[in-house]
Amino acid sequence: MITAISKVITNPTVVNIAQNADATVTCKTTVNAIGRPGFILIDNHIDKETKKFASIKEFLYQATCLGVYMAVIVPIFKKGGFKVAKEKIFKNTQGFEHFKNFKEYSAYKKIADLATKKERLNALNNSKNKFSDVLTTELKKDKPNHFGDIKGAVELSNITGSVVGLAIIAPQVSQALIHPAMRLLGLEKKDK
Amino acid sequence: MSFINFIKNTCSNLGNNSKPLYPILAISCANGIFRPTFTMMKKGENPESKKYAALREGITEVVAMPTYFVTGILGAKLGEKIAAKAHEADIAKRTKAGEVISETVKQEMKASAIKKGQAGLGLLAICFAAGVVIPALCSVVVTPVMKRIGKKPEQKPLDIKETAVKMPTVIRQTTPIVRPTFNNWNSGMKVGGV
Repeated sequence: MITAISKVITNPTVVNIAQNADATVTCKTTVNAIGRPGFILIDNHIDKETKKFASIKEFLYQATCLGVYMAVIVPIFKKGGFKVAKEKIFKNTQGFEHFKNFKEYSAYKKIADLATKKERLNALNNSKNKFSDVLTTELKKDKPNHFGDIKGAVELSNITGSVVGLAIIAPQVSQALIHPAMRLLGLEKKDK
Repeated sequence: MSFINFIKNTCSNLGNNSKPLYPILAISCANGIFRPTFTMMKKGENPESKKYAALREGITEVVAMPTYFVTGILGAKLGEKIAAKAHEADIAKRTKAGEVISETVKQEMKASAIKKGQAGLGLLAICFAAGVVIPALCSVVVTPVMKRIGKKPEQKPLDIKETAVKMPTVIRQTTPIVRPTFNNWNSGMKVGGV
């Protein structure tokens, strides 16, 4: 029983999501988009029509937040954060000197995160990306360097992006989209 | 310079130990500040409705923040225990099968399993909190708190039209007024009576 639960919670996909701020936030917002409207629908304190209205509004709000977050915030903050950290904060040290951009680091990380050396070598041979000699040597080692500072810089920009995106930008965008959508569904009357 | 060092240290810490709880708490905290602020800044809406909506959003985030914190920490602790037990069972099984594993490798494997268990169950606990615990707590806490504060629930725009005051249909009384009849007009006391 314990082994089965452990297999689920230490599953590489689950662990990967847990260790990536953007994946965690996406996961949580998706759950919010299902859970919050669901609980509004089963609330006994409010009447049927209000429940319908509030749950659809909440679902549209969370769905818009998720869309804005995934489409705009994640790519901008990930790439921008990497660039700022490389050029302004770490000034091409702590491993940043080996990577030209975020895309290259992302491809390296994908292979370095694989569990066994055999899997890493296979992935390296099949990879379309051409890594520098230093990075190729790293990936062939028993324990490749994960470049913690770079991962941390990307995580920090992801957290910043999540806060800016979900708490500041997405509510404004959703505000502009929700009311027309509600009118389209016939749940809101047009302001005179 | 010290700010740059602070950022560098933060990056280093996040790179070595990133937990799902950090972005979630940061978002929840920011939502608690910005959502009510934006609601209050909306133009052309009834001030009472704005106050109600802002207060409701604020209370929701006040409930959400400690819930995320507690479930995240509890999930990570439970994940650590489950992963450690599963690791011990796995080592015992391997040893029984005749595999020789050095103490250093055992310790490394245990540390890796614990880290994965903490992260995995921490994430699942946070998702459970976001999808079930917080909405349930909010439906229990928010409405009574709002009632106690004395705020009326927000009504949806169509409600105003639907529940518009209808004039009651008055049933007019058609029975004619009957003039009272007096049996004896001469009875009773008379002033200056004859």
